[in-house]
Amino acid sequence: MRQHLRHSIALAILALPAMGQDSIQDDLLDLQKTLDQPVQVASKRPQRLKEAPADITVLRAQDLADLGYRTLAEALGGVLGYRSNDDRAYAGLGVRGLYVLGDQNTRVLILLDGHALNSLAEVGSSKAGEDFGVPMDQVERIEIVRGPASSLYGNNAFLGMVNVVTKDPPPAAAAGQAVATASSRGLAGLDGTLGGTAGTTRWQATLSGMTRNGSETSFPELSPRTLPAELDEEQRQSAYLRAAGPDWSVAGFAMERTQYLASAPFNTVLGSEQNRYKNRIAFADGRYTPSFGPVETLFRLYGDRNEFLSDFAYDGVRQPGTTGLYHESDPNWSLGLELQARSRIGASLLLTLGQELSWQHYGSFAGIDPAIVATQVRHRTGSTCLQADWTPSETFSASLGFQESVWTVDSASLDAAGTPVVYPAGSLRGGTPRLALIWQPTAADIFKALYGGGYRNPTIFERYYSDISTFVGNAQLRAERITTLQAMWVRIWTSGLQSQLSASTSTWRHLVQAQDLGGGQQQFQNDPDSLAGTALEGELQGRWGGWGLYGQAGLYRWAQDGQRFPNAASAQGAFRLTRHWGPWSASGEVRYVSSRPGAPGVAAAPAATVLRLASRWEGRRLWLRATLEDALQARRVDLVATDYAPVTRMPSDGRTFFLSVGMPF
Amino acid sequence: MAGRAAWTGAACLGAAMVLSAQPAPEAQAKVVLMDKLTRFVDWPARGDAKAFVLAVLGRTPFGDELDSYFASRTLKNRPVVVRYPHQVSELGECDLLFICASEKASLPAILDKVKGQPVLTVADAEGFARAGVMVGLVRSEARIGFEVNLAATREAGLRMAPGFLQLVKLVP
Repeated sequence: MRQHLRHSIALAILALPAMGQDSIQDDLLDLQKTLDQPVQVASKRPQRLKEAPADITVLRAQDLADLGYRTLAEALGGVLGYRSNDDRAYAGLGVRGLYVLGDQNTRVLILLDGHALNSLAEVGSSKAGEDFGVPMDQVERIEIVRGPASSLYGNNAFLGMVNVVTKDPPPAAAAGQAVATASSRGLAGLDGTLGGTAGTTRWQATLSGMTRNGSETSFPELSPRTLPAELDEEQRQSAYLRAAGPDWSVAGFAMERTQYLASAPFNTVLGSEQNRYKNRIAFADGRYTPSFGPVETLFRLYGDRNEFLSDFAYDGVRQPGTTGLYHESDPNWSLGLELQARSRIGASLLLTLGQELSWQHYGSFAGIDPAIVATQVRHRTGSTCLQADWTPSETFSASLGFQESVWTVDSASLDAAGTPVVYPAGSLRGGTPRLALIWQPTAADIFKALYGGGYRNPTIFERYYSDISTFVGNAQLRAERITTLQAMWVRIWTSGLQSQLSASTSTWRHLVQAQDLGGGQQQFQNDPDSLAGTALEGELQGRWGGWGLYGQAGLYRWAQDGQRFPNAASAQGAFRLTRHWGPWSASGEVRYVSSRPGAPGVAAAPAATVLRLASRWEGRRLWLRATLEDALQARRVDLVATDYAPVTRMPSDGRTFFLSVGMPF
Repeated sequence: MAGRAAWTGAACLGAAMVLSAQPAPEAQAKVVLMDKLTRFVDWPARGDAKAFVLAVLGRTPFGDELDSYFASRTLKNRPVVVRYPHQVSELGECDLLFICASEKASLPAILDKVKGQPVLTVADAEGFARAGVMVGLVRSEARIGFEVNLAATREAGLRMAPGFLQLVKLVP
């Protein structure tokens, strides 16, 4: 058959008029190649993204390349409902106006190719800044869910969920790309990717490293000195390896990041070059996905190691009675197993059943020698979930899901400089429901009603950390829970533009906050008052004729006990426009997030207006991208107190110019 | 690998949601074939048209793939505008009209609307090419091929490259 077709092509080419023969010949051979390719037969009509049973936005590789976002937090900061802030220790994320200062992103679940980066230990980590570890140029798309999704994703999918999907290995035997980046503020980065296909196995390895010299900083509330840039330095190295066959895949990831702390948190010595945070994240993940008749299955085995390390210098001045070098190391190990089965029943019902188990061990030591606090926690998690997706007609579908989860602490104990403390064993158990109704009366209109819940187990740090004297553990700490009810209308306009309007209301119970116990002691406790939030959001996006447009805005109100919550913006929004001309693209973006001033001494998340301009040229063997980021009014919040409450602010870095050069090979 | 990783890695039920958000490879293949198809079709000059207008009528089988694919590509050296008219009366001027399977009942009215105009009509529903649509994207087992209604094409004043016609199935 193929030989016959090639013969036909040859005859056809001979029959062509002289004009453009070479071009037509190439096109015909190209078309023949495409026609020869088998395709994956779809069992049903692919949905528009906006038809999915969730409130979701996707950033695609083209968006990331056009705008030149360096980190995940930068990319997410312009998406509807999301905001980001950098406190010079970690890049934090806020959702629907709410920004919990000091939260190391424990309320937004971050997945890398489906593998959760969040850890139950979570002493210090963000996963959204440079510590994400995978260069944005290697990302195929970022799936961003607004609202709780724990019935789907479990712990930490509390305010939202982000799944970063990396690019496929190339079909060639071996190909790759090297990318070098430099900025006007001393950032230098080098990323290299090599991948290929051998038989049915595809593989890819990405190595990445960066260093940033830092910026000069000043804290007028604490010192008249301007601190040298070295005290703000950041370094990161990471590796991500993947291989996959027709029904299996393995992945391995390792990252180490060091951030020096100009902001001298926890009353440490201002200006000491010994103050620093370090994070080490590593995981291995293996999956086997065979099908047994109509039943698709997943068998998954994974292991994680997350370690937070810190060094703090004390001289007895800002923290009376404390002198010496404080060192902390908090590694958490886990080994997990996931089983899943999915089958279609009849033409309209899809059932999914899943079970996940994870065994974990946390062992830390912290303190100034010889007053060392050593903590050991053996714990495990388990969850069972069931979801039914029912599509009785082209115009209506419903999804109903439920997850039952349990976090069991088998043993927890600490030794505080010779004083032993044993916490009682126990477990936190709960169920999380989900319901989505989708009605599409016309090809242009989609209406959704979404009800979902989220939970966030207290971190081991919040529950068990204690130094006996100033910080006391609380083994009675309960999981935070949130429920959100949302109504959405999506409209596909004749021009191809997609608009979305949504209104939602949320109730957040058992908020975990540090409370002053008096006598210089603190403890994490569940707030007895619920936090109530309402949101009204709109999004507009479209691509046509070389143009790409994205705009979004949200109005938010969070209140507790009748009072407006301090760390919540009332309004935020972003607008970006991209134009492609052949190999060139030019993009502009502006973001805004408001701030509510708090009472004197009370922390409040900062307001920000950020402008970004980018231009990119792409050739066959080289691409160049220039990016200008101007954080016009943005201010960073710096953690300088003992209870994570910031007491000072400083301007952001302001105008920064980035230049990236990529060399595909 | 990334697509598989997206669903397998998501805890349990997330799989269904992520999957549903992805365009199927079959849809991607059809979008690519539409791109390649236009290289073998000559349209009579359409005044000072600055963009190539691709209209999709009905429930799109491409998810969001069509918009993404053509966002940074050109057809006939012109940037591509993808439009989604809600009904035949909103069709306006276009160069390529994709008629979705959902429009079976109104197919005669749609073809009547574009009759005599240099609009390349394309569909992926069975029998549409025989009913007067110029090009059908038809699947045979795991491969996709073209069906061409040459009479309808000539009636619209469009010309297809002879080499291309060697690779298609002609329907009466």
